[in-house]
Amino acid sequence: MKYLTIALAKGRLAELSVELFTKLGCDCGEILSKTRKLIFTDEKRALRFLLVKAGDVPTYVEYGAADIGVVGRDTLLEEGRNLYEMLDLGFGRCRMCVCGPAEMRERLNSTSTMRVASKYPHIAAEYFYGKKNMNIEIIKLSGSVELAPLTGLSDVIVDIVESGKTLAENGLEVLEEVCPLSARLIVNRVSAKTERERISRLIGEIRSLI
Amino acid sequence: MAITETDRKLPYGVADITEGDCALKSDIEAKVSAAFDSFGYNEIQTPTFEYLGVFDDDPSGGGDAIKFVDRSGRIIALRPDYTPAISRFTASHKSEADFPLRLRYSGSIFRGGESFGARQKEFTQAGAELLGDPSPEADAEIICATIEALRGAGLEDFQLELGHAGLLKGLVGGRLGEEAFRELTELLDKKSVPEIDEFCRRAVADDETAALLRELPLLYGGTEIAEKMLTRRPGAESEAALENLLEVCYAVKDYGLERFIGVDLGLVRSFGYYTGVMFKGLTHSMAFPICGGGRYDNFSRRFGPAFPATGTAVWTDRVMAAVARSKKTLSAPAADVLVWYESDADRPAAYAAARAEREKGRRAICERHGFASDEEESGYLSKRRILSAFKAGKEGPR
Repeated sequence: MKYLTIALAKGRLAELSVELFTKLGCDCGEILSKTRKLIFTDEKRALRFLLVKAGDVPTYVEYGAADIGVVGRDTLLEEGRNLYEMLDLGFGRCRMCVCGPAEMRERLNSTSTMRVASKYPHIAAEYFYGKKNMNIEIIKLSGSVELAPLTGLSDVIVDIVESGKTLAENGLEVLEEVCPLSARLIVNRVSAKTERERISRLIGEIRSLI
Repeated sequence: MAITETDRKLPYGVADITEGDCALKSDIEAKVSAAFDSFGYNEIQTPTFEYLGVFDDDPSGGGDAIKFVDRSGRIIALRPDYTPAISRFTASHKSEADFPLRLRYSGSIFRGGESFGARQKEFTQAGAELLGDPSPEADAEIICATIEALRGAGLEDFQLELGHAGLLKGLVGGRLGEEAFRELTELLDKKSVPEIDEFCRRAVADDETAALLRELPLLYGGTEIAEKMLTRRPGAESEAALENLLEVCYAVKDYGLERFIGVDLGLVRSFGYYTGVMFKGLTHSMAFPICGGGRYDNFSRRFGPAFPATGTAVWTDRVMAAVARSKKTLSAPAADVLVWYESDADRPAAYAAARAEREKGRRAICERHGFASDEEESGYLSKRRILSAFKAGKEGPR
């Protein structure tokens, strides 16, 4: 039997995904051990797991290097890839929010000259240009986004909020919610058809667990 | 003026095709075209660029076209899609007396999409259009000609997914605004079950319709999927669409090609002009469809008389990549024979010998050489990928 290849996003989501696939009877705990290996196989079920950076999961799936992927909705919205997003896995729940110092709450709806820092420039643009019809300046950052309003680099940020603890520690708060987020099961468009039975069965099994 | 470093590079999204790849590509184009020929389709050519208005103005049609302005200030577009051009061609040159009309084409299309980095901008397609025939047999003929074309090109492991534009229109009818309908189409295209669920809660009041829409992305498989859906009585327009889809599937079955087709009730196409059965072809090694098409009745109204039409386009460069991946072919020989000569005195004899080879249908190269040994000669042949060689003229000492 041909291997079904599943791409997992490194980090917290990989841990939760391994938990899920272990419940399905897959032998994939090795992924979480501190090894340098990037490919893991479950011979019994003919599954192969790849560990890649979150932003690359949709790319692997789009091009068919992986048949299936587990990745956050934030990555999908940001990457806009050509694939099927078939299941909300329910874990990794959090929110994409506009955050900033409390006094920005007022200005957020009255100003037209605002700087927004984010790791997610597409999502930020879609929200401000698309939804709110505001013309703002977007600054792309790769991490520690909370620093931007503190140092005057930007007025607000668009970022993922889980508990809100990091925000509070930096004197920032949630000003508006952009959208809810959670982990999604994505499927390559061709594999969904050519491996229909196995993938449908797998989706059915996962659905019964969540 | 000297050419600069940047001038030497190609613009983003276009590529040279080297000899080996080009031979494979021409071979595939020829085989696909031959398959359409064998169904009685006649080749035509339309211009590489036309006024933008000819092409669909939605973002995936004319909106994505590469455009420029002519001297009088009108916008010209490099053909982003063949179908509107063939429709325009038919409206300008043909009348009802010519129907049913079978036309085919082969050439490049251009799309300007910048969104994802190094996506290609020039693609090659070979396709066929059957104009003036509204019957399900016409759709089946187009689908079967496509299957034969892909098989002719050397693919066996592929599938055409069939859907129907009338199904979704029937389900949500005029009850969704244009923007909401487009959003739903995009969500269905991604089979995004969670987001369709959210969309239904927000925009679909009727529970029964919402339940069907939630299921739609997962309703793919064989004809039984459409048959089962029909028994649920989803409303007159959707039922007519399902019946039409099934009639087309049954006609494909009569061709004996049903193993190459599947049904996907959630299939949507980015072009807005489809009115009936539509399809996409998939093969395992390729992330993007290798062919696509469908029925686009009355699209011609924008150019003149309205008429029924159905068509297909095979993405020949994607088929080439799929064939290359499945076969691992060695690079084809560049020529069959090298006829070589040493001196001017031998030249007439060499030219005559090369001509004789060519008349026998062999690809012959004629060059002056002074090979000192057999090894030198065979080394040259293998470097140049030439199959054989002989020396013309008087046998001289080596």
